[in-house]
Amino acid sequence: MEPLLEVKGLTTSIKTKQGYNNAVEDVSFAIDRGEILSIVGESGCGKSLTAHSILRLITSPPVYITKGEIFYEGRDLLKLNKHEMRNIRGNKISMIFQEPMTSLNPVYTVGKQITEAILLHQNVNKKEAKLKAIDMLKTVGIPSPEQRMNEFPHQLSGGMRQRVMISMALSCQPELLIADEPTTALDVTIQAQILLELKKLRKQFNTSIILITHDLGVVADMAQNVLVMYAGRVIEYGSVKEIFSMPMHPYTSGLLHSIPRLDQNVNKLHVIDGVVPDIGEMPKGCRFWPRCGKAMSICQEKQPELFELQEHKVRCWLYKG
Amino acid sequence: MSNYIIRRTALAIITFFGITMLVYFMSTLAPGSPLDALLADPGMTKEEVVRRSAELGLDKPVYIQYFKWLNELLHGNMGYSYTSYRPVVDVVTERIAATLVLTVSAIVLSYIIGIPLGIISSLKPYSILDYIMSTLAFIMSGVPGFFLGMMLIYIFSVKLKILPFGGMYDASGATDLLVLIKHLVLPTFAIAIPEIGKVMRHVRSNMLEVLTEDYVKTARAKGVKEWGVIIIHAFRNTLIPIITIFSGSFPFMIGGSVVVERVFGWPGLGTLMINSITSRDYPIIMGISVIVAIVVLATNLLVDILYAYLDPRITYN
Repeated sequence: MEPLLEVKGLTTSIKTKQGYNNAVEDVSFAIDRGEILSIVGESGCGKSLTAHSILRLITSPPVYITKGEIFYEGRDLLKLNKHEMRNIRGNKISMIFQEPMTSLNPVYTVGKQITEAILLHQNVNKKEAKLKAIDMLKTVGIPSPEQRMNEFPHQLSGGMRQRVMISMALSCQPELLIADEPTTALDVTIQAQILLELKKLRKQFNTSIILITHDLGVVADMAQNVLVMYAGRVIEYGSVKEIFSMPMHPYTSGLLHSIPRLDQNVNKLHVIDGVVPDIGEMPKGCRFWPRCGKAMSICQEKQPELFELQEHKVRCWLYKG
Repeated sequence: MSNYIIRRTALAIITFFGITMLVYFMSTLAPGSPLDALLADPGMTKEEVVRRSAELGLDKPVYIQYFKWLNELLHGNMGYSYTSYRPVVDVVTERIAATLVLTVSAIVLSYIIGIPLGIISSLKPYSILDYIMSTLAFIMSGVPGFFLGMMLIYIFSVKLKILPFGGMYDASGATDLLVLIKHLVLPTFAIAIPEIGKVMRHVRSNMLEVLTEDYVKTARAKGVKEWGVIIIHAFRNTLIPIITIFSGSFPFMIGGSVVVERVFGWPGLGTLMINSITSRDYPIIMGISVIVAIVVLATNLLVDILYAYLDPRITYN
């Protein structure tokens, strides 16, 4: 079966005076209908930029998609004109963001913002759109939705706002929802509620979800497949089950080791030494070698390819051949 | 909300009295007197001058004069002109229309031109177009009105001979709209050009700020058309700072129009004000101050109320 969305060799670059710096380089992945794919990595690894590139929501200048293809239902999104792209946004593919506090327009009511999305993509009148919006608010678990419709974003809590964002994103029953760290800015209890809501909605509407996060706990709980990114490159890609039980890349295993465990007495938390290199000063060869405990001489010379081992892909010289 | 309006109105009334007091004291205490013209007459006896001075109440201390004037004002009497002996109300009201036509046209013009230019400038920041427009905006907002007025007269009236250099109507006595508009163009631009520059700069900087907001990204992600993103989602959020700028610059536009009216011989309050100051016609000076103060304070009050409508986050508690 053809995947719902297939990203091939996506490269997104930031133009600087020194030339183009690849903030996302040669990223490829695919997502099936109803699947939850998680993209994980540290801040600045390019996971968010990858997501924004799919909907072409990047600010050019200075950011440009310089290479690659993004196939959605057989069409390359990068080749669509502005009008065709608008018909995809919010309709076929929706997105929700990290900061629910600032993602809603402060001067319009919640109802107006949701109905706007419905009116843009569906052939309904204002009244029907309003009823639909109320229905969506109910679906995402907002109490007394009729009343909430007339409220402004500042009158809602963070969790409520994120629910509003989700209801807005799902109001046209998109086939794919891109959730860019949807729970990072929320309290842990609210976080659990929102994630549960996303899971429920995915079942209800059979929506695929690309979940961007840096929380491996969220990944284990939500996703079927996971894409680990480091310094703009995919370094490991496979099923959550495989990667969590058998991480191959030293970075991934480092990340998994960094999670404090409740069943062990830990005095000192494990950390990966060093910091992510600056985008203008990427090391030659593998971008992780300066921080890697298993670095070999080849790592400093040549960039490893994404080696394929059964269902599991990894970009590391340790797994060549 | 109504509580807020009452409080603001009370504050405006106090400010109003403050303004009248300040203007009264400053104009009365300034060197020169309304009696200077009498003294210039060699046939005038000292007794006669003293008699006139007592008649006008000028022999009393300033604060007594002020309270007398205030008392009369509160009884609806703005007094008589020292020079033409006509009631101040009549003299001032026949000039208001001319000034309002001029300032309102200038305000409308400066926002109609300034807002779109500011938005365009903000869409491609630091591009060549943006640099050109920003430089122009700086120059425009830096040119003083009187200089601008004289330059406009020199270019369009003296050299090109396409627009009249002054007055509100021409010598034929015709008072139709076309004649008025022809006379209105230059003084309106003289007031509006510095304001256009200011509006452009403020719109641009506020738009640049708003365009990076998350909700603008949300709007794009929803599939809103680009102009809708810019106008409905971004620009709508800059209205508050723009209205603030407006209420701040409105008194200066009225003040600026005094100078520009003088340059163009526009028969408005500004020209009357300057003539009255020269002849120390205190009742007229005070009458104009009262009118201008009321207009400015009412505008500010209106702006405060408008805030609540434009930004639901503002509550008046």
